[in-house]
Amino acid sequence: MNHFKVKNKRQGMDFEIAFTKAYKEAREKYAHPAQVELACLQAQYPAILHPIQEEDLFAGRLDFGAVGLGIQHQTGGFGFFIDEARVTWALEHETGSAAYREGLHELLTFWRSENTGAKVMRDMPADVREALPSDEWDNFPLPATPILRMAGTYLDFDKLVSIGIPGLYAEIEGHLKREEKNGGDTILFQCMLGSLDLFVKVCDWYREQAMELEKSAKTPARAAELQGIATSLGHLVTAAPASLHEGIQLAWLYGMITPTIEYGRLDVYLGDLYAHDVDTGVITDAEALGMVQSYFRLIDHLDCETDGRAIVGGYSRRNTENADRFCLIAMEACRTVIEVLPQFTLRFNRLTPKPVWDAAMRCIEEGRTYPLLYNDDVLVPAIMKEYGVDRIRAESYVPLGCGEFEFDHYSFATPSGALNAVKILEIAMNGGFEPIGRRPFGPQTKGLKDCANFDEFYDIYQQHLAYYIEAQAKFEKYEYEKAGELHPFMFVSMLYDGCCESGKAIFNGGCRSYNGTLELYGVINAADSLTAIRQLVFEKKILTPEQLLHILSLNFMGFEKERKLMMDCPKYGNDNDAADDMAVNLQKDICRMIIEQAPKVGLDSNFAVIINNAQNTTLARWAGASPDGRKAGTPYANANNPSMGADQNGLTAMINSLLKMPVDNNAGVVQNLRLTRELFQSSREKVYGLIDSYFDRGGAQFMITVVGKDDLEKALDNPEGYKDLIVRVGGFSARFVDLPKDVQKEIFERVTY
Amino acid sequence: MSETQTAVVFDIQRFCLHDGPGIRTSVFFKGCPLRCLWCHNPESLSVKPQLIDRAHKCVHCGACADVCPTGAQQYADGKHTLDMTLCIACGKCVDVCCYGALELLGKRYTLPELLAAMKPDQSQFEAGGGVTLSGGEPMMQAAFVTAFAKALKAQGIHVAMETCGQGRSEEYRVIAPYIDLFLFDYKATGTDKHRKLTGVSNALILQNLELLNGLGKAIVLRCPLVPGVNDSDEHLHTIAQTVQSHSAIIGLELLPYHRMGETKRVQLGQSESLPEVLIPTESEKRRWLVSLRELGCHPVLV
Repeated sequence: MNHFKVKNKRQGMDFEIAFTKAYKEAREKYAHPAQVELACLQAQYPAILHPIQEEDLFAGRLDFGAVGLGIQHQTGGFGFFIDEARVTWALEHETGSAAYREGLHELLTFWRSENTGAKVMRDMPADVREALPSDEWDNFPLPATPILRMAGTYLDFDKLVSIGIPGLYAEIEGHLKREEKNGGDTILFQCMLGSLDLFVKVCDWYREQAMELEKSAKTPARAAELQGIATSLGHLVTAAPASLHEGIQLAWLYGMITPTIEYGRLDVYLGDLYAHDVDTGVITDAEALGMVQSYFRLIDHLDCETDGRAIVGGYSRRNTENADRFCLIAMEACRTVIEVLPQFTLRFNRLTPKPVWDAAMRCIEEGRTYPLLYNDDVLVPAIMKEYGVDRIRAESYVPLGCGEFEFDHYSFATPSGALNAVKILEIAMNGGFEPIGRRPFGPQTKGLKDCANFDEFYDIYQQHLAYYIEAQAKFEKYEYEKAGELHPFMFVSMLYDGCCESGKAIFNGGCRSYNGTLELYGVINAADSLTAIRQLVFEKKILTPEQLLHILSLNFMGFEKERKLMMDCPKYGNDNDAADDMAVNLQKDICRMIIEQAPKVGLDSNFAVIINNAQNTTLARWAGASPDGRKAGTPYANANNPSMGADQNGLTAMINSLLKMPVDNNAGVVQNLRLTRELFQSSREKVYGLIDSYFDRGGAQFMITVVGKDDLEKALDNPEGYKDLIVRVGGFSARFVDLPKDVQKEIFERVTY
Repeated sequence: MSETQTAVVFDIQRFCLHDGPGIRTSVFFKGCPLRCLWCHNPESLSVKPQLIDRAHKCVHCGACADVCPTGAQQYADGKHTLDMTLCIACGKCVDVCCYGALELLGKRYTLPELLAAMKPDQSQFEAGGGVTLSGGEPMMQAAFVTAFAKALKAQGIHVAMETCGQGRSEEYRVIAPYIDLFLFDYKATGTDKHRKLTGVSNALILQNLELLNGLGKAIVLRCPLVPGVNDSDEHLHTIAQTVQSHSAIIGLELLPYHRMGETKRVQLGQSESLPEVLIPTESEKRRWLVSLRELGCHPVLV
């Protein structure tokens, strides 16, 4: 859960009590969800807003409550949400009047059944519920879970910054008139105007605060900054942004209360204002940099762990020259603001100017991990093909969250589920029995022991996978419909293509394109496990299925020899065809099944995503020992990478394996490359050559982590997890893991000379 | 050379950065005519496959002793011991060890097999890297290594070779057309000193350096420097002179002594070497660099 970085967090739950009261009154009074939403937004803002801090060049900080209105987990929660644990804690530990405590108790009991997540789970179609009984993936051994959210809100910031608040008012008024004429949903548009009024109120609230703070500013410089904030906020309510400062202020504040945690293509919506301001001498490059740094720190204050995408570069930017100029400023901000967020992302292609690429490499070399690199020249054609869209649309792709694709302010592809490939394999091996919860799960089929050959077992595994994949696609469609029924999300609807034109809110039929995505975890471990099953059980017949299952159930204890046999089976990541073919085929089969669901359930598309976040650890916790030699509960391989320690043949072999995986049957895959800083410093050209070569050969994406000595010191406790990093000593032959600990330490120490 | 002729290789290392230009794959050929006191690949000295025992991984299960035909592996009172003098490198114990404590170093490859093993790194070869022949001393298996280098060149791959220079001059002449870069060792100055530190005189080595220089082959001079053993002013002077008087020498690399090879000696059942020598300090390394620069060279630490 994110911990918003604000000073002086609110104490007590007065806000939550007030919000609940406002919600109840609105439900009583209003029939239309937009009216309820507006009333709740008015109860939420400015109540949860936080003051401008010393270091801020823009207004806008907040701290979601234990109850409120959000859009996804990291914005408080999905829809109307309650953080029950937090409220319970308050009940048990906080002191307060009897009335206050009654209020808390009321919150708990009221919201338990009234929160959006509960409604979604409650009203789920019965056949889906059987496959997806709970969304508590961290508490139960589940093969698949739904995720309750609408994620990936990519607002049309370019439009917002171009026309400003007055422009948006004019547009909405125009839509309202049309709806009045046609007898359409006038209430929706009236409430949208109400939302804009609320936004203006928020601007005024901050403007007054800035003017107050200016009076007690510690330095003249700070006073000037606060005056700047006040002035910008004043202008924004009457005119479109006319300066970089106003542009950033508007985008940030509007985005913050939407709420969204994606920041779009910065260079497009800020490039012109930046170029104008610098060219006319209004600001210097250094001042522009200071602004972007402040913007990034504000994004980071939301502490949302994932998401927070700030994208630069790529095809179909309407203002390439100004955008490329802005890129360099943004890149420098990335290099100097050393925080987890934003997830600064570079879309690059043949036309990317060398200075931009060099700046990106410099960030990476310094250990930033950003920018995340996306290869337009591979991804745009792949996206055209798999989504069936034209080049222009494909060029507007934006990665959200951990890497799922959407089309900028056009489509939603909220990933609404996670699939645990190893857990499902475990269930399939047991013929439909889940061994940790000790209960039947999914289709009841033959188990491994009843299969005459490997292909028969593989088919059974596919059957089990299909069961969850089908349920998850149905759930995705249903979740869109439920969200549409309950939540107009007006701030979103006003800045997504087509909603207002169609007279409908974003999830109520207004969005131009509803897409599904499904997060896969453990695919590589499952593939390596299948390779081991094929070799040991069916080809060499060294283990019977019963023996294998028995050994796994004991987590290999007493069976080290057999575990070694499993570990010695070929693994993906070594450029070994047997293992890599299995991984590629499994990925293709799963992706194909997911794609096939789209027309069945009525989504515009449905794709897998294989991404990099902590789920490879949390979901693995509930899976027992697997036939690839992995011990029970230990983490899966990350995204498309080999499982830890599996790549024995070096980086070039691993890259060869990575390049075998398809890029055109999924909505986003992450490849992680980890190198030492020493490597960059001693062999910079060689590393660049490696990265270039990967992209030239069809690599779609890279997330490059550069590790320095401090990180390596941690690695001494876990050298197995770091052996891919070790720089060779010229002419010295040794495998890192074969060396005793003190020698390993010595090698680490050599890394900095 | 027939398709079935084999060479003994004890390691293939990918993603090497200090063994020639670009990212390289190093092939370590077993066998070496020298016995340098500081050798960090003691497993390379004998051309025959040999057992290595990584005792820190041993869990004393005794499985190796059960299958050992000569009694080299012993298991008594819950402890495993190994008498390397009895080992015939049959490999039976390696098959039964689940813990990675035992390995047979030195695998036989036919030419097609070794070429196939280079395939995964093709993309690096095309991006400015290549293959480095190393070891041991590759020229101890000169016929095979020449055929290997020739085949790599036919594929347009850059080939570098690390060599100590102790080999038949005729064989150097034959292989020269297929080697793009020689990484040529220069270990000690003075015949007696050289023999004391490496086990052989430097006469043939210097002769081969002249030969390669005369053929105009690109050479990087590689100098292992061991504090107090071979890093005298005299030796540094001679290094500088050698670099300056041989036009084919395009680079100078200094290899500071390290002791990581000592672990392997123990694991191979060999005795410790140069126990009194410490690894060079930063200021010692700087002194070498400064001295050589003052003598007009451009040394690089590797």
